[in-house]
Amino acid sequence: MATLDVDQLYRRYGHILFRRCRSLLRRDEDAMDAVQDVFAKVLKYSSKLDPMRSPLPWLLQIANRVCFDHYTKNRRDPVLDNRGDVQMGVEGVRSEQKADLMEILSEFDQQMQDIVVAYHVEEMTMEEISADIGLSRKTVGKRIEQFQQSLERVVKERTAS
Amino acid sequence: MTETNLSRQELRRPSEDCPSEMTLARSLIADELPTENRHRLDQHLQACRSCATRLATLSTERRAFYQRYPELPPPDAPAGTRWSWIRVVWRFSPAFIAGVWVLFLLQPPTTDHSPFKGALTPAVSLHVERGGAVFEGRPEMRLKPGDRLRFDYSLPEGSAFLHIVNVDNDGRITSYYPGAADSLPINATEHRFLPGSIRLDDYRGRERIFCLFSRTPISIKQINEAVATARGQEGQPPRDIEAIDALPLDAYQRTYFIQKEP
Repeated sequence: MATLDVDQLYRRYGHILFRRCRSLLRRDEDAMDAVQDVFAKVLKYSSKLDPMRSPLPWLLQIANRVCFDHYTKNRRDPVLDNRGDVQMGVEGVRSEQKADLMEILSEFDQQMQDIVVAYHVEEMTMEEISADIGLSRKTVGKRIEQFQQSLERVVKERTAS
Repeated sequence: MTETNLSRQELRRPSEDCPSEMTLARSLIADELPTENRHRLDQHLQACRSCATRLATLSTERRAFYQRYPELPPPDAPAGTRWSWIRVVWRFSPAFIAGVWVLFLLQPPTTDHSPFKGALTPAVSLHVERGGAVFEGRPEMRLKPGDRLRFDYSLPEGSAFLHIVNVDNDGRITSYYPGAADSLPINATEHRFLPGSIRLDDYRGRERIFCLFSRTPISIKQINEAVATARGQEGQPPRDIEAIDALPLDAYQRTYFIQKEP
């Protein structure tokens, strides 16, 4: 990347960011709005950009923030995506309950959101997540397990009620 | 609201051994995957038809995305003022300029004579193998005789011609690709390895590799003339190859400066 600029960042990573945002927000228009917001935040926090590393993990974390903010503001039918219920490993999560996954995740800290989205939405391995987020693989595994337990608890509660 | 026709095909990992969707998506971006991971992925793709299909799907989707959104559209502003403002501030922010400078230093030099613009600019990567280990080529590096070089290239769209030559400090030219002939046509592709590898000879000293992407074929004769021009007039000491970071050719150029030592 001889001349890094916003255009070039977009040309390199726009598609991946769009995929991430679309997985979280479902609609193309919302996803594209989110991508624009990501780049606006990139401008605002550009001093955090480490030129020695790929900016992608950082951009994806910003994309998560933007999408969860969007979800919190709108609370209208956002879901992880149509793979969410299968991959979460929780039996019996019906499609109408999928929105709960986002809701549950929105109550966790940002690091947990980053880990769970990377693991369940992008199917990244724990090693990949560990490298991107800068945590040990063990910690990543524990956090995924922690989320899984929370999810199972909520599903049980809802099934009981 | 209408949705795009962008593919929503399932890209789920067929098995635990298969690469994640993110790894495949990263592989479509030049130099985004570490060399070791790229080799692992290439090996996997050769053996796993499912993943090759997943990658092709992602590649098609990526192309469709950039056809639909070739650049970031301005949000909610017909005049696009917000985005223009972002762009201006971004480009002139001190942190950004510092970042660009560091990145620029890390990248191989390029020429201003490029017939390729913006997103359509080709990319090339150099991989060096030494004693079974593979590492990414740098714009300037020390190599040893016997090191093996492999190149891969990406061309976002259309077709072009490619010629890769090595010029040593004595002005000798070795055509790495396609050999002593005109440059060969290449078509739009992502990360295609050129066939075979190049074993560095015993020449000790300074050399520069020029990767030349052009719209029309470039002959070895034209390259000879360009090298002669770049080295300077007869009767005067020739310019050092280190100082020649582009040849006077109508081509997009990536170069690697090599110092070969025992």
